[in-house]
Amino acid sequence: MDWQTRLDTLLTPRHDGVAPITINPKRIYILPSRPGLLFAALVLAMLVITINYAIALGYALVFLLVGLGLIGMVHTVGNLWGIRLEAQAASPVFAGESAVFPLHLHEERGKPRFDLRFSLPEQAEAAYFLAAQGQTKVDLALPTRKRGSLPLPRIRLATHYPLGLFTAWTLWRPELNVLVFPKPILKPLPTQGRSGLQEGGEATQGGDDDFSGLREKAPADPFHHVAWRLAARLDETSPLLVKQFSGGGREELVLDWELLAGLDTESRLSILTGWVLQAEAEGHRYGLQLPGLSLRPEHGLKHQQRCLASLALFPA
Amino acid sequence: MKFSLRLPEFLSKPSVESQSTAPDTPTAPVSDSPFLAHEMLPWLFAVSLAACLPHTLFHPAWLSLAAGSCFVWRIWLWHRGLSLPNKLIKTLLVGAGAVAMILHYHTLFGREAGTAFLFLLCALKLLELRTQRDAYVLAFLAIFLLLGFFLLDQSLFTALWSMATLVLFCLSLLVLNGALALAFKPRLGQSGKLLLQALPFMVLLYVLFPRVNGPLWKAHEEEKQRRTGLSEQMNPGEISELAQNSEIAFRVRFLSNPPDPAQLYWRGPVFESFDGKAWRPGFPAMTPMYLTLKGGQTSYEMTLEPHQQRWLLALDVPSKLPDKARVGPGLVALYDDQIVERKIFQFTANTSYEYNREERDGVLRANLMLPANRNGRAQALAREWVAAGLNPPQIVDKALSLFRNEKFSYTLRPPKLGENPVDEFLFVTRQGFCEHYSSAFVTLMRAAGIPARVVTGYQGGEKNPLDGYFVIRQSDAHAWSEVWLAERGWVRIDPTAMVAPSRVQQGVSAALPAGEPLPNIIRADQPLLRNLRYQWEAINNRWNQWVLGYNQQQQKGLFANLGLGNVKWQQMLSWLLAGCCALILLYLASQRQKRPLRTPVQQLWDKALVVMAKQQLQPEIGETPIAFARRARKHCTEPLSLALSKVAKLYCRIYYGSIEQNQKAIKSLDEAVKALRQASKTQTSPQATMVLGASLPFFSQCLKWLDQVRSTFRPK
Repeated sequence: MDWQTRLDTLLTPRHDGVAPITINPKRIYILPSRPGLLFAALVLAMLVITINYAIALGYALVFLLVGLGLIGMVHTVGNLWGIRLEAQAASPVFAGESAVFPLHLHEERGKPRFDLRFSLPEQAEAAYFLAAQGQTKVDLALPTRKRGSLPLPRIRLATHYPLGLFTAWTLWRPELNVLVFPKPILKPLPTQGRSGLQEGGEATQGGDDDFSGLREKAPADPFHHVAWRLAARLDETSPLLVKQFSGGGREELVLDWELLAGLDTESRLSILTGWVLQAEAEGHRYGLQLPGLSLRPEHGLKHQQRCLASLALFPA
Repeated sequence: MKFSLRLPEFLSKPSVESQSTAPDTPTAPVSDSPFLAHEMLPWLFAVSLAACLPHTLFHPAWLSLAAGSCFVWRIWLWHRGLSLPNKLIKTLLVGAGAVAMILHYHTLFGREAGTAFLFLLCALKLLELRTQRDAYVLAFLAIFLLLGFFLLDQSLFTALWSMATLVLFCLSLLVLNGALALAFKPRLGQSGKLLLQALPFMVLLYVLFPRVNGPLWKAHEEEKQRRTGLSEQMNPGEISELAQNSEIAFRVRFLSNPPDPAQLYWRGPVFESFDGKAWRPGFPAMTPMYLTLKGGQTSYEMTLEPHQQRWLLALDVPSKLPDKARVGPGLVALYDDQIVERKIFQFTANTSYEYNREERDGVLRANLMLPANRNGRAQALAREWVAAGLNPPQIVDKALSLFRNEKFSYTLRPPKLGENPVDEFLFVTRQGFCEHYSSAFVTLMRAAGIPARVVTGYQGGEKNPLDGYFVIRQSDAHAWSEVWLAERGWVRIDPTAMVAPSRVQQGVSAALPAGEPLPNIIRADQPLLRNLRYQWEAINNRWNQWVLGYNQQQQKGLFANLGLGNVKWQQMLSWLLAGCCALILLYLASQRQKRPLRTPVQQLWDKALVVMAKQQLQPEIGETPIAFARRARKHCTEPLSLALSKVAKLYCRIYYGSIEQNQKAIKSLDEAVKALRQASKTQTSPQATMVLGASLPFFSQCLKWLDQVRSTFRPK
């Protein structure tokens, strides 16, 4: 851990809430940057030479540079002062993916802001420009490794503007969490606990094994079912068509924790996650049976999300 | 089995519909790599070029050539997008550079070699300009190089040039820190703003930073460096060579009425020992001084350029000397130390005086000595006069009439003289400069038994009508004679005045015939050039007095005159810190901007209203812009009302929505407002016309005013 990270750990505020903040000097820290230290050494050397050779213009130059350094410091603080930050919750992700926290920046003081470097701990910086009275969105990517509820770590916003001689930074830890679902493991859906619910011709709808025809694309249809080749041949105004497949059928199944006896908890959760995704994609009605928790078979994105969340938050 | 691992978009939690960025606020993520972006490099080239360029004036041509090729090479690589030379080549180049430097200067340190080495390093650094860190190092090297420039020259031009370089320096640092997002003009504005805001710090530090007297370490090379000026002996041809140099020797400001030009003899070294060709100072015996001041008292302030000698070139005869100065043998005012920097002295002088009516025998004897085997004919001539029974004043007249009546001429290019220079000059060539006349005259006097010696210094001076300063140049260098007469003491005799009377009255340029190799700048026959020069020198003089002349002595004087008494350096430092902190707080407070209540579009409309308010027209409460413009049509001229209605229509369309409120729309509104302002100006133009003719009196008035302010700085 370098000194910067250590310092940041010391300085990070404990409770920041979720409300947007406006950066004020109370939360701006400033230290000379590495070029700044070099600059200070240069100015000092120049002062010694100037005194020794009694160079009148040298005094002027050295003092102007000192002034430039000091005014640079003021502007570095000013570059952060008054920016409004608004964090937004990240969409849930699967473990191993990066959670993206959208961060909205608002400039309301009529002054363009330069070189706004956002970073999360141990992540690379990205620099942004914010126009006077403008707004911009910064996507903070947070890599995830483990399932569960991952809190957004402190956000570091640093700047070197205007002269790069100082680093001013601010730390913010909005109380936001991202739900990390277990990393799915693909296994065939269990056959146990299936109860056939074949209902006549209806059953032929919505499978994806054998091609059975075309229909107009509905918003929820997956893109890989679109008949792209056909769409390329038709003109722009005609609607996209999706291929329809028969086979498979709407079944009701219960994805039970006990089906996976003998495996460790995390693998069980991962496989269950994979099942939930498959069952939803295939249009089954599925329920989830976990120790101490049971969800009745249902279908739909809301249900899927509830299942995934239960899997994510399952106590280890 | 196919499904995407990524959660479909519509799965995400219902979020606050992200307020998409306004179309006029581009949000370009700035490149984060430590490597320099292609478009950053020209700025770094510019700042290093600006810092290096003046050095080509001072360093050998091969060095400038080497540095220049580094620049060309690097710029070519940049232009073509080629990779930089590898480590081996760079090491070889630096090694070769260092070896060449050592061969040429025999060292890498010191004033000249040090700056030359830095110059080379700066050029070579370009070849490894790759990352952000290299860029900072290069920019800092360039600034260091500016200081090197000041070691060699500190004129006003230098200051202006370095200001421009500093603007480029700021620009390149800005560019390194995200300002590429800005267009060129606002970026330049930012750079200028930073420098302007740094100025108060500079002034504060400049005035309050305790000045040190004398160097921290002795730089031995300085003593060796020869500056132009009078020298410690007088060889034939030396002064005429000096007279072709137009450099300024010193400046004088008379605090009372200036004496007659013919009285302006500024005394430098006095020479008493003659070997037949060259004149040298006499024995440095301290002789008693009996000075009777008779009148013609005047006091003046002298700004002496450094000449690496101790003499002060006081006006004959100094009656009151500045601190650390005394009168040495031969009435020469001497300073305790060598004059190595520009200094200001205050003197009082009496142009009418009697000096040493009683003189020690030893001194008189020394002033009669002549080498017996040289210049025989001159000595014989003088002895003839004595044999004819003439008394000393008559002999002086006789010699002077010889110069006046025979065909002697005054020239900067006298023929070369051989082993008996006085004889050859007096009887053969009869062309010479002041040194020839004084030397021949003193030889004649000594041969006739009258103690005599050569005095060198400057004569005359040119008054700058703009600021009243007398400027005395090297070209005013002069040599005259002093003879000792019983009952009168040492009397100044200027034999040159017999040959060229205008030399003493009007200066060397008036006395010399056309075609002499005088520097253009001091020629009398070029009025335009002369006027320009007056202006330039008046500015330069202020520069010297105000900026370059600010030393410990002046600093003390300033505080004493402000009624603060003797201020210790600790006090100055504490004021300095307090002042800097106050300035920082002030600037910080200015950073705390309130949220503007008006959007940019509204602000533009406000501007239009300000223009109209000057025409006594304001919108009434509840009056819409369009209605206001319609009403204005009745009250003002057509172009103005047309411009206003255009602004009003555009404003309404942008603000109330039919045009998208983006950068382009704002720009068009801005142009409309500008057109409106233009239209209003043409309506009220007559009082705005400025007369430029009065600039010169204004200029000299400014200078006078500056002088009044400056008198606070002068130590009492």
